[in-house]
Amino acid sequence: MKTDEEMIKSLYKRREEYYARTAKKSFAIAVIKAVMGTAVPIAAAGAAAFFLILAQKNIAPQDDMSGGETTDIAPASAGDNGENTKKSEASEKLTSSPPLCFSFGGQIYGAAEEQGEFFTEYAASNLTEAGTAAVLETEAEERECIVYKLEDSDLKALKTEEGTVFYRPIGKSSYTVSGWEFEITALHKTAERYKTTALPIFREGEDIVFRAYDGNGRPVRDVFMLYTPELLDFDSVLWEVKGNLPENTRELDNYPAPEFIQYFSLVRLCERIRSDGFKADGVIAEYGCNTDIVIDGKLVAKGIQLYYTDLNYTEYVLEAYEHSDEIAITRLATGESVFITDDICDYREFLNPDTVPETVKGEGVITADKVSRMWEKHVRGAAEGNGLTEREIIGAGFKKSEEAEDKYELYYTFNGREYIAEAYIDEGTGNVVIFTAYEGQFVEDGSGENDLVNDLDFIKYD
Amino acid sequence: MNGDNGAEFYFRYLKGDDGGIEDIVRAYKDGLIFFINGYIKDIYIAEEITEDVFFRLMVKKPSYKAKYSFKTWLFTIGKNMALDYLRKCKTSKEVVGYENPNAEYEEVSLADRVIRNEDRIALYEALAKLPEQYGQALKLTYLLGFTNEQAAKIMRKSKRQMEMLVYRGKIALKKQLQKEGFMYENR
Repeated sequence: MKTDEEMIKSLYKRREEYYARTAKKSFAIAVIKAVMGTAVPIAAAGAAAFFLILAQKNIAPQDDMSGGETTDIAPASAGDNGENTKKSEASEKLTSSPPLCFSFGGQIYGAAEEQGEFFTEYAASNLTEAGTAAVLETEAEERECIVYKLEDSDLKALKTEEGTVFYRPIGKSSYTVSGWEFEITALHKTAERYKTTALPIFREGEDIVFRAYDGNGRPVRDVFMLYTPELLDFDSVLWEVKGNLPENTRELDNYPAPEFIQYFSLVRLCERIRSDGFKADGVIAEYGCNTDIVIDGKLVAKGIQLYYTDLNYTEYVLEAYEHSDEIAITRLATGESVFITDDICDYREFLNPDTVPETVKGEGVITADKVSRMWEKHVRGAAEGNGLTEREIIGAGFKKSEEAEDKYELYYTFNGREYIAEAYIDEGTGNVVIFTAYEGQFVEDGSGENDLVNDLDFIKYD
Repeated sequence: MNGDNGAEFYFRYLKGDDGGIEDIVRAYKDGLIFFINGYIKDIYIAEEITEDVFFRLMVKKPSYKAKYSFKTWLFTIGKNMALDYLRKCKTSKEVVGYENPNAEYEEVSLADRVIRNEDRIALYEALAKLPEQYGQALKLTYLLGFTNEQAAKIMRKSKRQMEMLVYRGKIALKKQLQKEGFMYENR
């Protein structure tokens, strides 16, 4: 392996070779300009430069014009050596950092510094070096730049007063209320809010709610954005609301009704538990009564309990227990069913029972309920020596994992999401030592963007 | 992150001081190879990709804004380039890596440098046997000193997902160490 100094030496050599090749491209552009004048259309200049460069036999096309997925930093061709002396002037010019441009949707956009963050985001993987061209800056100043081709069907360009802003939609939903059609799109990676006709009514810390009103000033729809840090960074999210929204959409002057306060107590509770690394100690006194589990005088788990109602005054109770010194398991009860999860925030759907789709009130719920009950037995029973056993796990439909000999898994779908329950067996006693369940995405290579989409949650008034 | 002077080095380089890029190489080379090797599983190719990362900084001079630490930004580029490499290999059906009798020695030697003072090569070997995401999460947070938030950025996970990966990774690591006869005393 190379030492630090060897790698540094190698880097300098490669840089020298790279600039020698780039200087040739600059020379080709200069030739085009000389022949066709400065008002050459950019695309034509780029294409002409491309063919001129190809015409120089000692430059392999893949070095700088590859159509591959990503930028290649190919080693210099052998023929480059020694030829750069003739173009020392151009080389010197380009050595001082040639600006970067990129083409997208048939247009070439200006120097990279104007889209700095955007380029940073894409610098490593999404751009393909497409050649060198001239680009007209805003003040009609013509500059040469290295052009990167950007092919990204998800990307949108939005023209704003400040210029063109690129963004990637992260969530979209359409719905109809009282004959009004709404479409809300959350756009990401934008510098400024573009247009918001459903105004935020509540923002404390990182809780955001949008509320739309009907023609009589009656609230018809709340849009909650919860639990996802990227979405909670309001400045980085652009909300665009399209549709026949009421004229008198407005911002509330006062805080919402008491039931909202309770609701947001839950929200804040979630955030507190998260920010404290799932340790519930600090929030017990503040948010609910202490429900520590004590068996035979021994503290098994610290717990908290929170009662609250939703907008329909349906009562809920939420319990959170510390477990394994690191994670709080939670239970949300509606009176009919009890579910346990390691993430309170998974259960926002149940804030209003009407929002639970019919399709999930079947097998998935039964399995989820079964898992939650097993979980409860595991937590409560472990201290008494009568926790879950391998036999029970197998009886519940868990299958042996290929990953480890002592591990069992159960895959199930709940409320449209895939979950995995895992149980690890102590080989000596045959008892379950670890029991957990989580969304399948945690073990897949999900980029997280799907999570953002899922976090757009709509709760409707009656 | 303590002692991350990368941004200062980089800005020095952008202003024309080549010493800046040299300092970057000296500060991050071993850690970056170690990290990229977690994806590539070939220490020599990981070294080449690491050099490509530095080369990209040298000639493309991508703009760095202090939204994240320089190290986080650099490792994110490294990860993307490693994944690009893997994608290309998959597309072209190339065989990743090549036989080299010294590879194992080099890899352990590098790991030794990265986790120096800890004398825990056994830990590294156990890490290498974990599922990739668990291993990378633990390497980033425990061996390379990233916070959960920084590691989440590099691995393109949410902070919550990162916490879960680290948590599950620790459980898996503990099991792996126990399987190899390592006495695990802390828990």
